[in-house]
Amino acid sequence: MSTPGTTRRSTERGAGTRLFLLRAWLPAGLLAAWWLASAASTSLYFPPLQTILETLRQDWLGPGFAEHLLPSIGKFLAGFLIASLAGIGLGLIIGMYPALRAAAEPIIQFLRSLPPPVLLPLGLLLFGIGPSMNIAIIVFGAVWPTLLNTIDGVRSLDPQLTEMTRSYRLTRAQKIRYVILPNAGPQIFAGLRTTLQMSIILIVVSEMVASTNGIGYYVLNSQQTFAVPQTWAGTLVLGLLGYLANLIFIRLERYVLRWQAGLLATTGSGA
Amino acid sequence: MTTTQFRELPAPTRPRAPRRSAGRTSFAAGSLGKGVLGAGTVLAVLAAWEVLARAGAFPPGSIPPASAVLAEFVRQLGVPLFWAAVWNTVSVALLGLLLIAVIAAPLALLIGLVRPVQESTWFLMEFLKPIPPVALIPLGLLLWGPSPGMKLFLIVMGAIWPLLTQLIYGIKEINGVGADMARSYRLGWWLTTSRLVFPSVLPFALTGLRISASIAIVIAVVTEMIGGAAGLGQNIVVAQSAGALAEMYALVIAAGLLGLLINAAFRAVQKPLLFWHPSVRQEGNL
Amino acid sequence: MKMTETYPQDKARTAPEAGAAVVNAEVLLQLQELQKNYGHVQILAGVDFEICRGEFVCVVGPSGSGKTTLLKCMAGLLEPSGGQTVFEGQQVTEPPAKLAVVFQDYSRSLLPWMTVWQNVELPMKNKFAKAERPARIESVLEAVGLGGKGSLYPWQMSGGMQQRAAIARGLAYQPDVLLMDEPFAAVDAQTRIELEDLVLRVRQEFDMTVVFVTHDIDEAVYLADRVVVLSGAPTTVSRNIAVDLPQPRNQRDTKLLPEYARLRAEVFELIQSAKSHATIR
Repeated sequence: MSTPGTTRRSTERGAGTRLFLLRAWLPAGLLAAWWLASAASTSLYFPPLQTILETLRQDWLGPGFAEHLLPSIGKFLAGFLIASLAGIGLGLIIGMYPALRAAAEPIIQFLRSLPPPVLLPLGLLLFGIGPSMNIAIIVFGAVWPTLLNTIDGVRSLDPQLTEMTRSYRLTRAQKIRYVILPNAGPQIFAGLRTTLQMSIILIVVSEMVASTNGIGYYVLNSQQTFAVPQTWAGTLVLGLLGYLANLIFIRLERYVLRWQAGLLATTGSGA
Repeated sequence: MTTTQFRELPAPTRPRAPRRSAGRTSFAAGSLGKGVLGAGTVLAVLAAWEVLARAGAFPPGSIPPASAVLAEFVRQLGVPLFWAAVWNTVSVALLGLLLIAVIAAPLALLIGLVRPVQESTWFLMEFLKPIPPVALIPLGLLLWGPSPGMKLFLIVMGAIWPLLTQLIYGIKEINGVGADMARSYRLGWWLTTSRLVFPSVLPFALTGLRISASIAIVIAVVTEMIGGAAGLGQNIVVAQSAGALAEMYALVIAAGLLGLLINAAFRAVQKPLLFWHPSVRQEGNL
Repeated sequence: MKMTETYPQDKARTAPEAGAAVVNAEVLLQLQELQKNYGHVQILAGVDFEICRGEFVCVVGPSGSGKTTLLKCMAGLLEPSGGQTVFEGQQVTEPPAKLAVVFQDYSRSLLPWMTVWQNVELPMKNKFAKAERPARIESVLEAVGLGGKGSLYPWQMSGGMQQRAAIARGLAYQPDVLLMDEPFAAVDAQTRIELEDLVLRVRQEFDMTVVFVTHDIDEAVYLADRVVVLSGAPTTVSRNIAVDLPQPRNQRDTKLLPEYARLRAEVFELIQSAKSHATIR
């Protein structure tokens, strides 16, 4: 038993290494190419990668971390959490009452069709410059995908499950907690993912126009003062942040919806 | 097709799995009653806005009455400059979409069909996808200034991912029962492509294109607002800094209607093209 | 309670005098002139019968005879258009607390995000104190042959096991009557036989009244103390047939009895005539 097991594991490890190499060569190659091609660059717009990375280290691992990065992350998290909770809560209520849904539909459709950045001037007028404006913009701009998906998910409850909850006389709270929310879970998370991406966009944009710190402010400011390596460095940091946020989110989703992964694996499809 | 249900799609527009509850759509009052309820809410919101604004419930100089905004909106519809701004925004977004389609289609074929290519590009895709498209704006401004070319570049960079990922999903989807069927009945290249490949990929393509389109509009508007490229976004910023509040809100409403229109257009195209697909057959309104 | 008259604890007992016993028994569930229309279509046209405590009643009818509609009216899930259901002396307007339903499609009535244990526990939350639940869940899972399987998710189990879990959920709820809506329609023939015997066994063990809706004539005769045969739509009761087969039943011996064949033929003919009647209409 142990011998075939170990050989299998070692071939698996071999396959894993091959896969890793296959996946790593292109990004690594591109980075190397960038490094080499820009090494001797004297162009104002394309500074050497080395310079960019040094700037990144100086500005973002030093005082910049507390001055620009932490506030951005804090505001982003606050906005995303409020938008998520509001989207799920309102979606739950609207989804459970068909009349409410019919009444709210045109308004919701309009608001979700609004390209969120056009809310910026409105936010400026109502909240002025500062963190509360940044957070408000995220909430009002990014809540819609979660709201719509929650409504949809709540509606998609199988009628037989509704009958089951009725015949076993579950209370409303139990029905929501144990049946409606888990059933809508996959769709809620799909909405949350879009809300997340939207939140990142909006924290950056809102900091560009209405903040005196934060990464959005830093990047736009560096561009306006022609601090080119700073612009590149800031862009890289933004990219990394977006990537990390997405990574953490996917981990969370996998954990919360782990029952679903098993279900899909056994039934083979989404049915 | 139901396998698409739980894929990692930005969600409001993903192809929906059929709802099991057949008798559920005819729930409340029917579509007429629904329409009346919806229209009623819109009117109520407008009325509340009007009353609150007139009563001075909003901070001074923030929100003018609804009637003023609507009047301004109607006036804008007669102003050529307004339409020029709309065209500036829409034309670049459309051009961007076209470029995206041209770039994404062969790329998706390559990635979806050739395993080593898929693995090699995996990390790059996973890394580039979640990068906020607006992050590139300062860089774009730096390199090209507030030009249509910069706008186009940012749109392509930022909005290509939904279409590309969807197309890859769609192409991979074919490699299943359908492909075996085609081979066992010896359908040949043309029949396989036209009757199997194209229809299978189409729902994914339309979903991807729809999401890409809304992102393209967002990017276009942001670059106009921040980078000062000509278009609806720039007009909004100009109106705001000039204190022309009614105009600013009218333009915001125009932007929202533009978004609605794009969604409606996609829905209109989708219905006849995908009449067989569960997402269309079971189309709910929300 | 006159339970012993209709429902003997003594497993060796043979040939209950079903017809006679029912007269003395306590009536648990009454359907009185039950009617149901969907729009202009009449599904139930005055269905009338009674179920006594401890009885095992199978309701059979041709397909499309509104069996599921009838069951839902009994369970308080559907409001009848006319007539009423009376359960323990009370008119049923909502699902009664002492009644549980095992649904036809187990894959849709078990919650895929909960383990079997959690699925069974869920309805118990309003009925049993937290401390009482584990022992009870353990015992019902044991009874349906799922002992030690509580930590599995429904989708990790076969269809037959899922339906066992659904039955366990019904049992754990400790109802006075268990309504089962074609519970074995979706499982294979082998599993079906096992589950039929399982139902007979747990009915003894948990002292349960069972109403079992099915379209399968063999199943109905094999399981029931009494078979209620429905007519085609619009549906009424076409006959009440007492099943005087010896207990305990046995898949091989019971089905070889001449009486079994006779009952089976009787039900079959009733349903055939209901069908031809329905097509003529």
